[in-house]
Amino acid sequence: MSESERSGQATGLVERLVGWFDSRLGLSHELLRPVPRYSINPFYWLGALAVVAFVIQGITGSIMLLYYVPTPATAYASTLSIFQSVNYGQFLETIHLYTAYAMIMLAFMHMMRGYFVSVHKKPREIMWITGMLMGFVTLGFGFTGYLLPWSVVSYSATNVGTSMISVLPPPVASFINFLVKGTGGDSGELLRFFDLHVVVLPAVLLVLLGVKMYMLEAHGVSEPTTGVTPDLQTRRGRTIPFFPDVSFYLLELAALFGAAMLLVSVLFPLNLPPAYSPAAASQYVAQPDWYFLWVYQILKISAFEKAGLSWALSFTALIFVILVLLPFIDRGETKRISKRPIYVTLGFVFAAEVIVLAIWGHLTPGQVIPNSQAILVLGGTALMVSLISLTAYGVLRGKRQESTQMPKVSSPSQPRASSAHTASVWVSGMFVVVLGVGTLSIGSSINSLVLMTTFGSTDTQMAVLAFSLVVLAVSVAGACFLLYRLDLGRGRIKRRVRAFEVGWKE
Amino acid sequence: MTKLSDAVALRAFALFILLGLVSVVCLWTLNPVQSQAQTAFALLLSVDLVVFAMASYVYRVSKWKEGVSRLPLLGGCIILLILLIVGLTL
Repeated sequence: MSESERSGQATGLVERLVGWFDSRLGLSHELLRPVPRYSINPFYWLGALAVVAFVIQGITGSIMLLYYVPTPATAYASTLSIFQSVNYGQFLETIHLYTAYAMIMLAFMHMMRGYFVSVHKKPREIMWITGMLMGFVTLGFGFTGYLLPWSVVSYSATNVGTSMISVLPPPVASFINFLVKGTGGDSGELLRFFDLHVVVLPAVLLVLLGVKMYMLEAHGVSEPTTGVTPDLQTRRGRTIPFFPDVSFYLLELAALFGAAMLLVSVLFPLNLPPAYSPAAASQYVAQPDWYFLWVYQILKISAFEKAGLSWALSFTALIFVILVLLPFIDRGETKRISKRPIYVTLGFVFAAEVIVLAIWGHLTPGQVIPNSQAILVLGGTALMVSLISLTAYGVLRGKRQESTQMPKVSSPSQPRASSAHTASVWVSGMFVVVLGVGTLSIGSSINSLVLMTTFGSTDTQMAVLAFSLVVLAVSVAGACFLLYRLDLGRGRIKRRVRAFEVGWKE
Repeated sequence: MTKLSDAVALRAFALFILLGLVSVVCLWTLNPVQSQAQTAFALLLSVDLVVFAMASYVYRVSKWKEGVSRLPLLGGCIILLILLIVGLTL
């Protein structure tokens, strides 16, 4: 039997196996609509990966549920016994925590990607709002789950959040108190957090997931921001059945994601902090987990201390309201990133501010931030990111105008022009990324300098400053190189460099 | 990067399945009470997941007649080798 015959038989066996399941389960019937080829890209499936993280948490959480006892007297001891006595207990706890972190990170990335590629626009407005609600539920998982080990870290961090409830208007405060504190006292609060984490929030998330899946079926995968070009209509635009093709692709992503989580859990195994006691808590600086650090850092600005706290909470709530209502604010027809400079710049500013605030919050635990420092860092970051983004838009616009002024090429050379355009888009994208990294390093340098001048220099601060300056230098060099590459079509920089070289040689 | 022929891709697919089975057998030999076994368990389970992803990639791309690229397979094999060596020497 020849090699091709053998391979044909084996492929036929797989096909028959898939066909067997298909005929029994009716998987290829149009329950899930086929997706276009261009959506076979991990960035299209960040939300699906967040769901995978949720499933992993469901499995690991269900196993931990067999051993965990939600009372203040037993919560820490039962968590410790999972670590020490249960088979693979430490591994379970570590995976549960890291997939929770990954779920929050993926949800944030999914939201930012959706914002930049305009998935919130007509007809996907309700889908966006559902996604945002799912994001809030995800944060709720983080908030409620953090208290359950009843360690000094988790208790103190949760206390920071719950202590803010009293600042809210009385009806809202009493409702949230009812939700999170129950009958009052530590035992009531722990039990409510446990119920919310294990029953209420998963149920709400599953309902929202069902609604979102229904709308994904109704509207399909979002089109690229460039629209469906002739290239997409032919090669990359063909549709692919959900089962088995897309299902296998999603399983691949899920498997790689799971493997990455396992490796992270091996490299950074979780160690349980000490148990909560008032004495231990008094020696610990309360700080929320990393995903709430940006909000906490806003609350630590001296203008928002004491009486200003309600203003800070209102401001943070306003950010969330704007994000939810975004489809009704950003109502422009175009989805192209190149035609939305203001919204894209605002998106970059938002992402940069969140990252800077979170890093800054991590570096300054428990410190009140002076107003001048806050204005310098936050204003500086916003200004720099805006300038960089708008400069990049300026460069791109110049490039586009130039390409439209160029004489039309004949059809045989069209593929070459197309590939040059693609290369130019890549170089431009790299340019924006390099400038973004450069901006973050500038923000980090300023932060380090401010901290060093305020609290004196430490080895860590010096290391952070040195690292930031190195990253800044690399970013500047990279930006110069990419600017040179971007200019190749126009040739002005190239001509000047060549003229300089000739003069230098002479 | 050049593409693999269907026959070579099929051999790679079979090899991945075999490797996955070996890894699963090794998983069952671990003593779950030992703390070091948790690391080995995580590494061998990640071998299984990477193997599954690669086998699925070969199947999917062959089905789409796009040609199996060498680069992901090469990268995956290097990762598998590292994971297996570390996992089995623990």
